[in-house]
Amino acid sequence: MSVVISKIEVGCPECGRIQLESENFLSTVCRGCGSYFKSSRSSGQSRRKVKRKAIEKRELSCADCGAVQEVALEAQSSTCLTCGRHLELGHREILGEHLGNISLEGELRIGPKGNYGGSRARAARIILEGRSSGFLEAPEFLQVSGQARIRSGAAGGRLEIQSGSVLECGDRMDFVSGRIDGELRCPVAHFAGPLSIGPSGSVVAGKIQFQELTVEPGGKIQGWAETRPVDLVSAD
Amino acid sequence: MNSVAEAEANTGEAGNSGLGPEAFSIWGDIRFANDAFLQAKVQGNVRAAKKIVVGHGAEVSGRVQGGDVCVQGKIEGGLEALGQAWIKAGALLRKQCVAHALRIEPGADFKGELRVGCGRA
Repeated sequence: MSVVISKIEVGCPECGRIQLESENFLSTVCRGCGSYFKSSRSSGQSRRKVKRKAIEKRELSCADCGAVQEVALEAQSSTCLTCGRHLELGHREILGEHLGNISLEGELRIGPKGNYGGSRARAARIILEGRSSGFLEAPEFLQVSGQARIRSGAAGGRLEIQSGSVLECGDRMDFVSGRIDGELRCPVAHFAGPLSIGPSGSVVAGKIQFQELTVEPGGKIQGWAETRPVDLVSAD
Repeated sequence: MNSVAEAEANTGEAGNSGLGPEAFSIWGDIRFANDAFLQAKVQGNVRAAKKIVVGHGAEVSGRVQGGDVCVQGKIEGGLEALGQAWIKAGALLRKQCVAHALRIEPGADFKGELRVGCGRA
């Protein structure tokens, strides 16, 4: 039994000569001019595209150079494409002694018996219940509960000291805003925005700077103070 | 509420009959027995038994003492409030602020010693 192969007419792209080819042909040679050409099926136009599952991503800025890149939502670490810095994206908890610098995009918790002995720790959110010898930087917030101590300074978005907690800082505190329901003692406290002291809150500082201040009845604040001009705040 | 014209001035001296801060100046200390709204320039100290408002345009070269004190103008010599103190936007306060509770609004200008909730000066 013979198999009939159907033929189709194909035009040469060089000379235009029409010739018969198998309907499944992938490439051929023109019998007129001898040029080699491929069928439209093999050129990739009709290839089936493989659908990939979309990966959810988020923006991540490098702690060192500030370059912004996209990483997978579930990624635990990445490398800055600009400066090559290793970026740790997860959370970390210090329950004992920890030496060495830390840079996290997640949350850092220094437990009641924890002692951060490095020179600088950066995390989006820091919960401090113990001690830190190094500088703490928390772009989102630094939350203090328990009896906490920072030998170097601290900086970040919002400073929260919970009721019944005490933070003793040996150097400058530099935050955007603050809510003090516990006790804060430091040489210099600088808030670019509002500072609010609750009924059980207390601030004792050598120098205090803020844009606006609210001390609720029962709250205490003592020190040399200065308001920060509004135009300076907007210039930041 | 007392006005400046009704105030008991130790060595008071009014410029003319106008009550605006540009036209009304007092040299010496003044004391209010009740709530008071101050709208004048005072070269001296001001004391109010109850609430006192230092209005827009008012200027006090000395110290202001009262129960609750609201500052909209200028005080150069410090403030002491037995109750609450409000420093409004545009107000200026120098030297000292002592109060039981305090609110300093954005745009207010304060520079000096701050003691809130720590007892009297």
